[in-house]
Amino acid sequence: MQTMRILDCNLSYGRPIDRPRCAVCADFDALRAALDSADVDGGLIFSLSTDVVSVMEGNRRASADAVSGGERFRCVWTLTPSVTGETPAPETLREMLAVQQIGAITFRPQIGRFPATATYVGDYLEMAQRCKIPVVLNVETGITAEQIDHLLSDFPALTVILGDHVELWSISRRFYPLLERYPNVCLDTSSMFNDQGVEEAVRLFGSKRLIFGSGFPLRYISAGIAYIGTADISDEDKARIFGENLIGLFEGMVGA
Amino acid sequence: MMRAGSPMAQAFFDNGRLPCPILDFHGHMHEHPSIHFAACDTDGMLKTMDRMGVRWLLFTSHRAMYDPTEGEWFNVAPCRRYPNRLKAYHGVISRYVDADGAIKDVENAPEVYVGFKFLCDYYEVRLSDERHAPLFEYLNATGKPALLHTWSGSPYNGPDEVVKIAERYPSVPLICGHSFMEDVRSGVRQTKACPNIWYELTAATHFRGNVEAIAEEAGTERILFGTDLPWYATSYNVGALLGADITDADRENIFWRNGDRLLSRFDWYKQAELE
Repeated sequence: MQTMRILDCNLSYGRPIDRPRCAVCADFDALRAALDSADVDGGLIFSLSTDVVSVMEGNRRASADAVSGGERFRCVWTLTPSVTGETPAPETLREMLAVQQIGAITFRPQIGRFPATATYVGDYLEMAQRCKIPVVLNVETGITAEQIDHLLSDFPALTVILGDHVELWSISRRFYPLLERYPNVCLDTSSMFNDQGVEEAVRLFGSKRLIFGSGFPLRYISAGIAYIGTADISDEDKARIFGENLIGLFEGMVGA
Repeated sequence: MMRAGSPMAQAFFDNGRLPCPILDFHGHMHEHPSIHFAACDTDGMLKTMDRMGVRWLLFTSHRAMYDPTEGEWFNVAPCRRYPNRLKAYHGVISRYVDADGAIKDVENAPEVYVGFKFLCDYYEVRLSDERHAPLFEYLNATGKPALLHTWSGSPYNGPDEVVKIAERYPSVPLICGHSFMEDVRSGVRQTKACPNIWYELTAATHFRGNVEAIAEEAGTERILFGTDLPWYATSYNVGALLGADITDADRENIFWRNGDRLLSRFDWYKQAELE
């Protein structure tokens, strides 16, 4: 495997109450140390304080840590329906992107107890579509594939990083049609592990639609790296998946 | 990438292959009603085995697990095509057990079969069910292994059932597929006193800490490598082991040494390895 830059779109840290201790990075320093020893350069970080304390605390912490980590880190901000005022209004959020090192937004409808539909989060999605801000949509947060399809039919140019850590074995049947229909939907590779799945996805959609994610610290980061790194695809494809695509998404954000 | 402290990891990430062989004790093959696989035919799987340096794959075709009428043919044909790479566990479809017929199949085709595969959760029949008894008695008499689907909270193939079988049939190498997923540490703790129990890593590698938990509880001398190929890519499981907090010597145990020790009692294996 050629040495190449690795950025990971699915990194989390903090102390969730429902995980064994071995699958936790207690804080950002622990995460950063683990990434260094795995030769991972950086990526998109999510603070689990979001689920344990509040969305506001999770966002605040993620931004503070991303800023302290330097340019190699961006953070994911979690949003709730803007009408409650807990998270910034869409235009205010847009103005905060660069300073807060926000690299993507997401929703956690199960823990947040609201439906992830256009009525509830459409204002954010309209802004995200217009400004090309990546939206992380992972089925593990309680959003269903059907809801994702409905959101995308309302916002078909939305940039989405799609993942699923629940229905582990049906990614291709449930997500490939979304990749086929919506041009800015990308797949987080932490949802992929079946044999020759990467090769198939690259053949069908091209390597620009895959973003390396490991799911660390819940998953072994080396497993995801080995899966992509030994796939029967070109080194150019691997370089895109491992980092260039995520950098491209960050650089494409308007106003960030 | 991932080179710190592990020459084995360094070799793998430099060359895309391990510096040792791999014996994969848990595979499948062919299509599945609920899942699309990118490569589940025999040649596609052999391609992966060749790329990753997998010496042997012990598998059960999905057809043999779900189709009691003609499923076994899908075990037989691939093994006859690749006699020095593939061995099959005869499927045990617990609701349709024909013990005499299954034993006859295994006896008549030593070039195909290594033992039996039990998938009790799927059929909601306990491992200790009387229907399985003749099969375990046969395995106990011959020393052939059983691959068990094991899950921690299961009444059908959880730790209690496995211990029951292990004590009743002490000469059967019982390979605990998935190593009691959901609560691996507890499952291993409850079963490790039985010396004929082995722990296999399919799906357990999906969650960080499981490999270390099994190693801490039972030692790495009883862990066997497995992938569920084509469910998991071989590379994914190799990568997980390379990232686990164990030594390269432990990894060698898991990738092949333990499997070699287990299989060395069988003529088919010794003969193939000599060729």
